Amino acid sequence: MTQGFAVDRAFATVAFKRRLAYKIQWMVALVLGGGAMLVSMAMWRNLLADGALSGYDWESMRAYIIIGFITATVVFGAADWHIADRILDGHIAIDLTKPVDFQRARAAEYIGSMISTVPTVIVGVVGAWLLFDPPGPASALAGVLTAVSFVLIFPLAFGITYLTVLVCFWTKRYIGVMWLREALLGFFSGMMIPLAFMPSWLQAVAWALPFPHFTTTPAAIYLGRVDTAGALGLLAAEAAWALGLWFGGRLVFRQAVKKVTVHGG
Amino acid sequence: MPILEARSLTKTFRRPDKASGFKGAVKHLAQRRYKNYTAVDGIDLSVDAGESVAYVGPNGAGKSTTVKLLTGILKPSEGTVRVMGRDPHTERIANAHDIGVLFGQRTQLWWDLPVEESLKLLKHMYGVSEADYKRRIAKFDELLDLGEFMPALARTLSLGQRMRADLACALIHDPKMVYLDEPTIGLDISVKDRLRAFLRELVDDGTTLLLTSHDLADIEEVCERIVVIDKGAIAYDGPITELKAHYITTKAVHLILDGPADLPELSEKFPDYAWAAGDAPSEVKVTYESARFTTAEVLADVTGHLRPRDLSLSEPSIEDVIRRLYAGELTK
Amino acid sequence: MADTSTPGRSLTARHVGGVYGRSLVAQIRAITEYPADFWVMASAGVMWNVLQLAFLTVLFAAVPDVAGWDYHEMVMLAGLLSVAAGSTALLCDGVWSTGGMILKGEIDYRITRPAPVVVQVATTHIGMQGFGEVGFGLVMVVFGWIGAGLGLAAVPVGILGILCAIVIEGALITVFCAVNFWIKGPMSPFAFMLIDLQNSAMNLPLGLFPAGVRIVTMFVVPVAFVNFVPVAVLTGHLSAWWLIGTPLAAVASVLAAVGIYRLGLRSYDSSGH
Repeated sequence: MTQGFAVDRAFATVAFKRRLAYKIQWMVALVLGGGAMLVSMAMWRNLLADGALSGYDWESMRAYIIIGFITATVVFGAADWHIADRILDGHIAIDLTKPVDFQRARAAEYIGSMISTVPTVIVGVVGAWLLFDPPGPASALAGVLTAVSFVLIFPLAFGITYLTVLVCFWTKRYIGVMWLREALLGFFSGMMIPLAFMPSWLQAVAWALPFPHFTTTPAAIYLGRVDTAGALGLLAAEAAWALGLWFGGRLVFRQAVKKVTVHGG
Repeated sequence: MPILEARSLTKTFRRPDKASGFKGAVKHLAQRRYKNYTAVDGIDLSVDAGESVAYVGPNGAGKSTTVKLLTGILKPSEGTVRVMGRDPHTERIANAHDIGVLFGQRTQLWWDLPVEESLKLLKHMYGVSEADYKRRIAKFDELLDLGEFMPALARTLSLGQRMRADLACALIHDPKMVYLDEPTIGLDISVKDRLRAFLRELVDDGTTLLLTSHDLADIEEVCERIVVIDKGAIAYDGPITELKAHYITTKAVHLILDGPADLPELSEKFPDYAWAAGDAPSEVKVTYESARFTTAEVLADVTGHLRPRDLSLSEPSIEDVIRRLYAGELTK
Repeated sequence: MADTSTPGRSLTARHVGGVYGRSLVAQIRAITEYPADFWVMASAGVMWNVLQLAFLTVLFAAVPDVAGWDYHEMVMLAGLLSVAAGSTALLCDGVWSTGGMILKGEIDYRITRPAPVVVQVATTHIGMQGFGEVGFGLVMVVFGWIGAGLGLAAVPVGILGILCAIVIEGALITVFCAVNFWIKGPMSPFAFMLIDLQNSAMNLPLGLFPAGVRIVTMFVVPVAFVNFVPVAVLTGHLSAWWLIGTPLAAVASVLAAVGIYRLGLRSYDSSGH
């Protein structure tokens, strides 16, 4: 078991370092995430100048947008390309000959690359804090539970990403699949607009998907929109999605890997 | 008048000078430092129409950089290039019609398209008439068997097929000056033979050819003139036959004996010849200067003394000469 | 030399147009090789826009206007940007490969051929998401047009706006991809930032942002002329005089793209030895 963890750590470290070496990536992530955050702030300040909408006032919206920035930076900044490329260029045939579990190794790498976005997150959050002075968490416990929901985003993001990357067994390029996933995630997570603004049927659709946990769940806990029991319920749902997608990935992979010879690795 | 003329051609690259690893990267970010690296250093080269020139040198000698300078891909740091009187870099479009280029390491085929589609796109790009196109394709088909993979997607071709298709791409507009950078790299013997035969025909038809290769058989079979480059400068330039006559001054006899050979004793008895051990203990190699001794004399001496079970004669190949040129043992 | 004066030795617009058209048509044929990719990409293009429309619809259920712009006007704004971005994916998506081609030395062959390098690079690929983006973007433009009460009389202005938008967008992406001639890398982070920031900011009225943003988007990197200015003129948010700036921005962007690509080729140092 410890042997297994050592391997995981090795994969994660390599991915982390590889990502850090890409200096320009930092700047890109900061400009994009920071830019989107500033645009959202400009829009909502204008809209909420006269009072609250759908339960959000300018005060709580500032915290909401910063939470959206954190999850967007971590999720959109991870190195999903590397997994896709291994499948598309046939490297996977080599991976399969190694005494390492493919999914677990990719998970370690993916999470390592997510961790490499943390410096960007810190710079962005500190900047946003100074500029916009958002409210603190509803309570100390809410703060802790928000942190837990952030941590759960790591396996959850991997689960969703991995499943979509596996589509590359059937396509020639990854980018379309990635865009599709990112579009759905951006909308149904509540990053673009809080789910509370949506009609109830659309909210129902969103909650039937894993996406709300990327912004709505941490924001709801942080702002005290749910009580402790509700927060724990949300975290349980988030964890259940992470677990379910993990096994879903295994299931799909077993089917997909039969295609390896077709790609001719 | 030469078709290709380069004068004191020089290319200097600026390479970032940074230590390896993360620390090095950070340091480089803070204080950018560069090293100058001269890949081609004052080359003078003049090629007449119809010549076939081999351009050889060890890895990193500056061969590909020279080809890129001659074809206008790179801008010289110093010196000039003229192809049919034009500067290939500044008069790129006009020059393009006269030259054909092949880089063996890369393809110019459109990866996701059938070979035929790529050739047709090039036909239009060069403004080749339908009649000329058909005639040339028919000729390429005859000599290179293009037909069998014309409808295939480029990415599905074998290396040998790809190279043949790329050769057709490079020649579809019947260029007067053709540059081939390692056209036989990675190919098997039969494809190489076929390619060489094709290139010989090309030269016989009057096309001017500049070819780089690590395979000296390409050079001996296709070219008449050889230019050896090392460390960015020309080490030899002349006819291949002259290179051989000038530098191939020794011959050798390989002997297989019944038992182990006594080299010190042989050296003492025949001090005019050089004696060396062969591949096995019972084998010896006798080297002698071809100007001083005839092979018959040597054989008479040796067989009279040793009674070998078998023997063979060998002439140093051009490969040996070039190896010694690279090693700096020979000077012009 | 006699040869220099042979016809066909210099580039004519007709020749360049022919090379461009043929290369692009050939790429369309290549698309049919991968039907799964086509559908994934096209639906990704549609999905972005469907969700953009959903965002606006959800937002305007709660607010009457954003900085004075109503629902239909903002739908037009988003639709026009989508048409412009989608068209560049269809017409010059290959420029995104500039960085990769420089790294792998794949520009080499293109320099030795008698056609502009940028045209050869631009036509190496078609972004199939463009079909979805242009299709649904046009739907949004028309929907917003009718909803905003614009009549047929304004159609010529609309068409001019769309054409200029496509040209500006394509030229700006080319400029930012050409940065890879100096800052090497397989990706085009600057072009990527351009379109991503456009997607965040330019779907909103410029009035929301500080004056500095307005100046940059109009006069430095003229993305405002892609969608904001034409829609603002059509809907009366800006005076009609601003419309003159649209073709001017298009010309300036194209000149910048061609110039920077040329400069880039001059400092191109190929790869390997």
